[in-house]
Amino acid sequence: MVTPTPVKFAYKSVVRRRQKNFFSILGITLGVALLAGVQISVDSITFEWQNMFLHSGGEREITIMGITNPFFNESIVEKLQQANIANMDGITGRMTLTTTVFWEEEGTIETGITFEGVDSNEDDTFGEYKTKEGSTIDISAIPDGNIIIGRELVELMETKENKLAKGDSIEISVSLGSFIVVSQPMEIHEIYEDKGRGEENFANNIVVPLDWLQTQIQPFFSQVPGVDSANLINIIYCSLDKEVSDDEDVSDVVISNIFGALESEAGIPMPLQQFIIINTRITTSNMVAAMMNNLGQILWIFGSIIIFCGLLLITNINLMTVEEREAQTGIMRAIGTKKRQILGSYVTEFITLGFVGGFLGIFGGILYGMFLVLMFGTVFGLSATWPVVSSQAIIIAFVAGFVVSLVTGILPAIRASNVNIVQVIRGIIPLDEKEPSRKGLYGGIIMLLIGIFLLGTYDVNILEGQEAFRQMSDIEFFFMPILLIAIGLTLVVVFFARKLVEIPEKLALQIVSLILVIWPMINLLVLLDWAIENTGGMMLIFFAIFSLIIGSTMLVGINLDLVANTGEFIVGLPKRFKTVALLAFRQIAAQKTRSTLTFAIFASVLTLNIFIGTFSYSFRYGFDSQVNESSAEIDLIALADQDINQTINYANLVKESTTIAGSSEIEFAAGMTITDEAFAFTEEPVESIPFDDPDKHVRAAVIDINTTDMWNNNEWVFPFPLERQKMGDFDPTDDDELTMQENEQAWQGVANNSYVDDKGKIVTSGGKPVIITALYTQDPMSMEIGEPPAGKSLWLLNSTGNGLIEFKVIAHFIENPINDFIIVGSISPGSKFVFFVSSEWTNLLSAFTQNNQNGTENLFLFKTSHFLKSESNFDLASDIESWSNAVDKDFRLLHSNNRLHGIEVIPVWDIYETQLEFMYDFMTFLQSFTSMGFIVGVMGLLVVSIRSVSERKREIGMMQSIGLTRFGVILAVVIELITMGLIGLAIGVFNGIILGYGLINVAGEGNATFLIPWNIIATYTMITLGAAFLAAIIPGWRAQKIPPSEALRYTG
Amino acid sequence: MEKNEYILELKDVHKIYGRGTPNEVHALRGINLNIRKGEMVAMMGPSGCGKTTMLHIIGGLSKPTSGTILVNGINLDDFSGTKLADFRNRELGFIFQLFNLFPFLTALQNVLVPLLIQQLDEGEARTRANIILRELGLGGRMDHRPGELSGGQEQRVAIARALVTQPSILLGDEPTGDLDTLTSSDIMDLFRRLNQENKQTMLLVTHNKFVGNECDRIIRMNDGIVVDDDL
Repeated sequence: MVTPTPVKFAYKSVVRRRQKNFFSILGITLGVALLAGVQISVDSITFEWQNMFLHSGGEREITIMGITNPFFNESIVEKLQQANIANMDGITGRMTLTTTVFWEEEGTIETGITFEGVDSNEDDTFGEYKTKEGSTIDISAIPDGNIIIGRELVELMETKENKLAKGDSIEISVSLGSFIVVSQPMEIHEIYEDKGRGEENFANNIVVPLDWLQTQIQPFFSQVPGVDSANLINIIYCSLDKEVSDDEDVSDVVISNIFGALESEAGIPMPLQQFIIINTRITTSNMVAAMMNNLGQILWIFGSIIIFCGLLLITNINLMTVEEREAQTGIMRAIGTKKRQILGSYVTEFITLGFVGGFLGIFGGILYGMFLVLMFGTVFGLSATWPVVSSQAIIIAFVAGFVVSLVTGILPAIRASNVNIVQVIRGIIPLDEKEPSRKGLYGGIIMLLIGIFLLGTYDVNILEGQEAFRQMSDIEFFFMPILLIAIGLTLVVVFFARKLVEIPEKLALQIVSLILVIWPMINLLVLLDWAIENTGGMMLIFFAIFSLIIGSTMLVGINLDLVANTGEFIVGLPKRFKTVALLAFRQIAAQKTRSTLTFAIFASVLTLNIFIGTFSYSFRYGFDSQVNESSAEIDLIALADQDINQTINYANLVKESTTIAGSSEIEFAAGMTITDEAFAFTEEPVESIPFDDPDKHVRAAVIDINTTDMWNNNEWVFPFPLERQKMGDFDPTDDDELTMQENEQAWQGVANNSYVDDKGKIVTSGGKPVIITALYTQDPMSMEIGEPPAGKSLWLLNSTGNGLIEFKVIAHFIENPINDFIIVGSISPGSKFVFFVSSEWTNLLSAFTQNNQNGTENLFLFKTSHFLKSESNFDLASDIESWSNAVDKDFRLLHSNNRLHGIEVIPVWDIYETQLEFMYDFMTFLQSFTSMGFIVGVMGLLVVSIRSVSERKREIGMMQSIGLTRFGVILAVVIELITMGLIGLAIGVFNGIILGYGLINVAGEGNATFLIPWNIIATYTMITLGAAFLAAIIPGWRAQKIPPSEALRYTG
Repeated sequence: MEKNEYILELKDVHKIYGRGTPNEVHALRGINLNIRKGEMVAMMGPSGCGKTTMLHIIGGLSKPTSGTILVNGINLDDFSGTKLADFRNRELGFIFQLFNLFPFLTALQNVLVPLLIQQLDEGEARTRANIILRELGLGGRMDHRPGELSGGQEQRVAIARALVTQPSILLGDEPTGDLDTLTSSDIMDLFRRLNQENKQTMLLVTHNKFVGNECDRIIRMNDGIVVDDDL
């Protein structure tokens, strides 16, 4: 007798079982590909975004701007150069204004475009403007009245029919408040590309020589005493040495040195000039990192389920490999092979398969990553690059896949090597041990103790009931301890109960799986409704996903007999299907572990896909009603780049116009003023105004409000919804939730220039003027809402720039179209606000006086007779825009100055669509991400089914020997696999809907209506059935073609 | 009438495995054989002489390389796949040495399968399966799966499955090969009884002289040809 050595035996197993091993390797490859693909995708997308945002910053690492006065003398640049600050590579001063660009031929208008005066002697370190052909554009060679324009902006303005080119003229309108800096047609000298200096803002700017722009602005400042109006700039950019440009510490030192150098410049001829210095590159980089952290978290949460499918796949394949050779293992034992030799041969075999599969899986992962990066690029309009394949990603995926492959192969191998030789050789199935396992008891006690310990460490007492679940963080925290306690308690109680009374087998498992399903449902359907603060919650979703998938899969797996009986009954109703129903469903029920692992793959990927589908669908369509409410009856918003004198009453001119086709459909129109970015202080200054402390001031635009803006004959026209979180005992009688009546009262408080005291009471003296705040960009670094609570004071700079006026916050304006209009397309580091103050105060605020905005209007709101989404609103917006901007016509002629005010009119619905577009795009990407997991899951299922059916050749021979037709054989396999698919689908639909509802609550913060995406479910049902059919028909067809006599001889 | 005398006729049947390959095996070399209705025939010979191959060819599980097989005068070659399946289901009963039971079905379900293929009413099918299992002494083992039965019990389930459709021909490939003497004897008694009561034709491949002696006729094969037929 020859006892094979483990290596020899393993070698023979690997070499001789080529086809089977091919599928084993394929299974491991797919699993590892999923593992690697997720990591590679996250890394690649992070890299892409970092690049995108940093790219837009060009070589400008540090930005210096004026706070008290936006303009200052360019001599500061020279002084800073002379300061020889270490690590500062270059410095330049520019004048950056915004403009409206109007192209008469095409009628296209773009507002809010950066119009930049660039010094022709600017340091080369900032790059050069390049033409498409790659030649450098000489700024000094731009003739007066000419511009150079970025390619991106050109593409925005032109159409397929009409192209902009060198030598064409476009109308430019630049103003400071009501002062006109430039208002004339300007010729395009060159078009620059998104490279070199054009990288800044994605080649979306217009550039002119700085000295030309300084000449244009000179008249505005010429009246200000002591100002050298010929040499003004409003922004300074610094670049750092390349090797330290990403070094935060070095940047901080440079900033500190800049502050030092600025302080020593007492001779700057501007009154009380203060500066803000922004660490642009680092702030942007950190912001992207923070954003990617959130995106990465989401990708990992979903990716972890895809990985879970990969692990299921590997486990399934390995289990099959060991199970099919149980008899062979018994024979080996019978002929004297030692247990360790058997184990050794399996280990050697799995190491070989795991190594090859893991190695190939890395390439699969790179392909997966490439696909996702390509999708990401397509969805977000980025150029696709090669995926970032870090050694960490490769090692983690390889080791994880390899180890899992080894462990999932070896554990059953150990079991196999310990089997009763006689039983295995004779194919006898050992009966389950009835004696309750002590392992369950010990596991239960450990879970119980961990759960109680975790509860004890938390500072919120769960016994407070509903009050304990007010914050999302509390709900998230309580999830695991309560789950552990419930499961632990079940295991312990059932163990002891079994000693006293007879209770059904697997009762403990039944209860545990029910807990795993019900507890996340309670969290998602009930507890989330209790929460007041809905921020965060992704970890809860993560826990819930796994709990639901594991629980529901376990529940079906345990009750597979019941499922199989039901299936057999239904499918077997027609007599002709009775045999195949019996064969298919008994097969499913008999191989519980394998069946469960198979439908678990489907259940996991479908949970994920239907979850994303449900969320995305609800997000897309469920916001309609919320948008209607948020729009506060505003249908159109117009914004003028150049302020319009109040006396002109633009809003009314539009409403009364006889040339605008739909003007009669305008029911109400109002005009307001919104300022450029100003600064407000969040703490009362003790000795001096804390200009240099970024923690004590915020950036904000201010909007003036008066009674004519929102009321039409005492009827409240624009019911802007408000919210508030109160501070201390401010307004103690009031609840946090504002009724519509309280909303109106709050707006009246601002419009009527009311005063409130510290208790929130309206007073005529001794109180502070009221202010309503609205956050329009929150700092993604912390992702915390920085809304100042009601009762908090804010200090705004007065018109002289050397004093502050205190306001008292009475509410927050949320989800409003005005904010949304402002933020569309703007991504800026740090928190930014919009403040609503009474018109009475505007001439006392620096925000208005520094640009001479008093008595002007630039923001207009229109209420029409159409519903929000109506096409008529879009047509009207277009008509108003044409009427307002066309040369030698209508509005421009009404003022006899024929000046372009740069009026852009946008339907409110369009604003929300634009705003939600990013989310839609993200959803589309997520769906691609998870669909890929679905495809790989289906491929895995194919592999599993091909392996599984090929193992059943003998049974198929048996079926044919007793008279089952070939069609019957295929049908039995098809029914089996389709049943697996349907079980997975049912679990996936159930879980996906529950999770979708939960995430809509979390991410939509209660604003979206939950909708069940029947079309998506129908699509996945079709795909699942198709995939299951394919997974059955391929091996089934192959198997039935084998002559029965040959099949009957098959021994594996 | 002449033709109907034989239920099975094999004319110059050849079977070559792996034709044209280095591993070519000429398993049957021109078999000519006639078996009468109700005959109980034993087919004996050394391992690899082609007994099982011939049994599979007779049962339509495998096609001959050349030659003709007539069952009740009908050429098996004329059967389509579906017709052949129906023929196996209604006219033949297979008993294999390794039982070939479905491991995931209970004894009762294993016996039910051929009846369900015939689309028999399930109630009636259960009654018939029940009766035959009880007749074979498996009344208490009906809900057991093959893995929970002894070898003898498994073989009796296989016999029950083969007989439950009341086939005209019973094909047994070493039906007692895995069984002890006592069980083998019981099974042969059962075959003999069925043969006498139902006039079922039986063709049993065996190494066992005892089985051979129990049969009406012994056909001896060697190296793919019939060397002796005590007709």
